[in-house]
Amino acid sequence: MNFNGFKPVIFFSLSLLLMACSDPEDENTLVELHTVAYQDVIDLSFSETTETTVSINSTVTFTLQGLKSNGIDSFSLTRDLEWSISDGAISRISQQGLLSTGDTAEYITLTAKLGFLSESIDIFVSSAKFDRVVQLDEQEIDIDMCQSQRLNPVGRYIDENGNEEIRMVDNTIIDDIQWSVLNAADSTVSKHAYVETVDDVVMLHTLAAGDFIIQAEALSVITGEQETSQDFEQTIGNQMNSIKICNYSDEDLSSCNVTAIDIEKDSDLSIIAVASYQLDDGSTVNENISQNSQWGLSDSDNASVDFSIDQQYIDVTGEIENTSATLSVACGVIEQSLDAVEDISQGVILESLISCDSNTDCVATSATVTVSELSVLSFDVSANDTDVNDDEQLELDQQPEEISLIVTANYSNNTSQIITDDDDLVYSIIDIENTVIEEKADSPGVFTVLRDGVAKIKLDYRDESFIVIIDVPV
Amino acid sequence: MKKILRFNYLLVMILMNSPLQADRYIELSAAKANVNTPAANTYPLLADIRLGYRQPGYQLELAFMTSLNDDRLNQLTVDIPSVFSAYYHYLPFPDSSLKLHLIVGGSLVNIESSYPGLETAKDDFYGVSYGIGFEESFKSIPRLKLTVDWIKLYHGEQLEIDAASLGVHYEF
Repeated sequence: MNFNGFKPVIFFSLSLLLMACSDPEDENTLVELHTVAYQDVIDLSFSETTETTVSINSTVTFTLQGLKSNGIDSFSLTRDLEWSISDGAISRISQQGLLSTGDTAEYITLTAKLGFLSESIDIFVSSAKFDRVVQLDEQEIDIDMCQSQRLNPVGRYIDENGNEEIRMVDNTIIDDIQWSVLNAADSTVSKHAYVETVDDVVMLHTLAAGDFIIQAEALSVITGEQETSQDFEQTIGNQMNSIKICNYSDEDLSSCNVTAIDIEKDSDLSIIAVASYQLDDGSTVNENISQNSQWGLSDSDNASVDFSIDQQYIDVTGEIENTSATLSVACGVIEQSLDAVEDISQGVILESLISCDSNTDCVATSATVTVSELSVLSFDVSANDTDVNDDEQLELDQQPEEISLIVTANYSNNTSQIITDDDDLVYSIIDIENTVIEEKADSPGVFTVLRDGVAKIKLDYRDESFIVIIDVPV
Repeated sequence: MKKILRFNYLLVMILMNSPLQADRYIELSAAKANVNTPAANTYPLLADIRLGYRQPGYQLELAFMTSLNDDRLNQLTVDIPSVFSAYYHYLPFPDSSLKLHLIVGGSLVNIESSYPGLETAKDDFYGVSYGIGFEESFKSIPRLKLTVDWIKLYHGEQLEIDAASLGVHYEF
C-alpha cells in the first residue's frame, strides 16, 4: 500500500468542496420523461364509467387509462402513478388509487399524475343513504350459458333532503346483498345460474341457457328493513358450438382435446372443460368453462374428481389400480337431477355419467379414465437380514443353509410395501448351471443353499428389476 | 454558467499541481452510460478521452466524453453530448501487474432528451463522482495498457448516471 498517494486527496477534496451537487429539482424533467416513455403513454383519462358520486365512509378504487403513443390502444395504468386529493379534503387517496371517504359530505378533486402527464376528476362524497338495488348493472348484460360475468349493481340512495341519487352500489353495502336467481317459467329457485359476491365483486355465473329472474335483497338504511328489489329479467343465451376436455396445462385451447385420461393410483391430473362460442362477427372463441360446467363420473370408486380451490380446473385422481371410469361434462340442462346438489356455487359433480336432455340447449362430452398400477421407483432388498445393493456382490461370513430375501418396493406415490410374497414378483436364478442355490418350494424369496459359489437372483416386478449377487463361502 | 466556471477552476487547480517529473498519459475508451431513473433506464454510448499524469500510487486526470449514439425508450430519445470530469485515482497496489484504481472526482454531465410534442430538454447535472477500475499492461508494449472502469458520474435523489468504460491507456 502506498500511503503517499493520499496527499493529493487533501487537495482534491478541498477542490471538490467548490462543487455543490445539482439541485434535485433539475432531475424532474428527465425522471418524468422516463416515467412516461417507459409506459409509452401520451395521454391519461378516467374511464367513462368512473363513478363521480361516492358514499361517505366507503372505499372506492379509481383506475386510470393510458393512451398509447400509437393513439389507438389504451390500457389500465397500474404503476408509477402519483395520486393526490384536493387541499382540505377529509377523504384520503392512497398511491394505489384507493379513495377512503370520511364521514362528511364534500366535493373533492382527485388528480393522478404519471410523469409530466396528469388528469383530474371531480368527485362528490355524498351522505345519501342506500335504499335498494334498482339495476343489475349500468349496462345491458349479454351472457351465454356456462359463462361468468361481473355485475356492477346500481342502487338508489336518498339524502337528508329527500333527493334521490342513482349510482353504483358502494362497498359498504355490496357484500350484504342477498342474491336470488329464479327460473322465469315457474319462479322456483334455479339450479342453472347463481350470483355470488367475493371481495366486493359481484359475479353472475350461468350453467344453462334460458330466462331467469334475478332479485337483490338488502338492508335499506332509509327504512331499516330488508328490501327486495324489483325482478330483473335476464336471458342467458346459447351461442356455444361445442365442449371438450383439455389438460389444465394446455395453452392452446383451440387445438387441445383429451379423450383418454391415464393416471396411476393416487396420482392426479388437472383437467378443464373448454367451450367454443360463436361470436356475432362469425368468429369463435374458446373459454375454460370448468367452474360453470356440470361434471359426472361413473365408477366413482375407481377414480375421484374434485374442484380446485379457484374452481378453474378439476383434479381427477386414481383410486383403485387396474380399473377404469368415465368422466363426462356438460353445459346446459342435463337429464340427471341436480336436486342433490345443495350449493351449485361450489361446483357440480355427480357420481354418475351425465347426459344432455335432448329437448334443451345442452352440449356434453366424455373421456375414459384408466387407473394404472403404481410404478416402482426402487427396491430395498435384504438377504438373511443384511441389506443388498442392486448388482453388487454380498459377501457372507459363513455358508448358511438358506438365503431368505425380504423385498420392499418403493412406489411413485412415496409409499413402500413388502412384496416378498406378491404373486407379481418373479424370482429367477440367473446362473443356474452353478447350482449354488435352488428355490424352496412354497416359500417365496427363500432359497436353499446347495454348495459354495456365487449365487445370482434376478427380481422382476412392474417393469423394474433388481439383481441380487451373494458370494456363498465354503 | 456559474457551475461551469467552478468546474474549470477545479481543472486548473489540478493542472497547476502537476509535478514536472510525472508520467503523462492519454486514454481512449468507449463507454456505455446508464441514465437510471425509478421508472426506467436509458443507455447512450459515449467516446471517452482522458489526459493525466501518474505518480507512484496515484494519478490525476481530466476526462471528456462525447456522444457516440443516443438511446431510445419507446418515444423518448436520450443523448449525452458531453461530460467533463476530473478524477483522482488511488492505486493501492502500484507494483501489481493488474492495477486496481479507486477513483474519486467531479463530473458535469450534459443530457439532451426529446419526446414527441415537447421541446428538447437540455439538463446539466454535476457533483461528486466515484468509481473503480482496473488496468493491465500489454507485455509487448509496457506503455500501452488495457483499462476498464465503472464510474458513478452523478448521484442524485431520483436520478443516477454512471458509465462503464473499456479502452486503452498510453504513457508518454
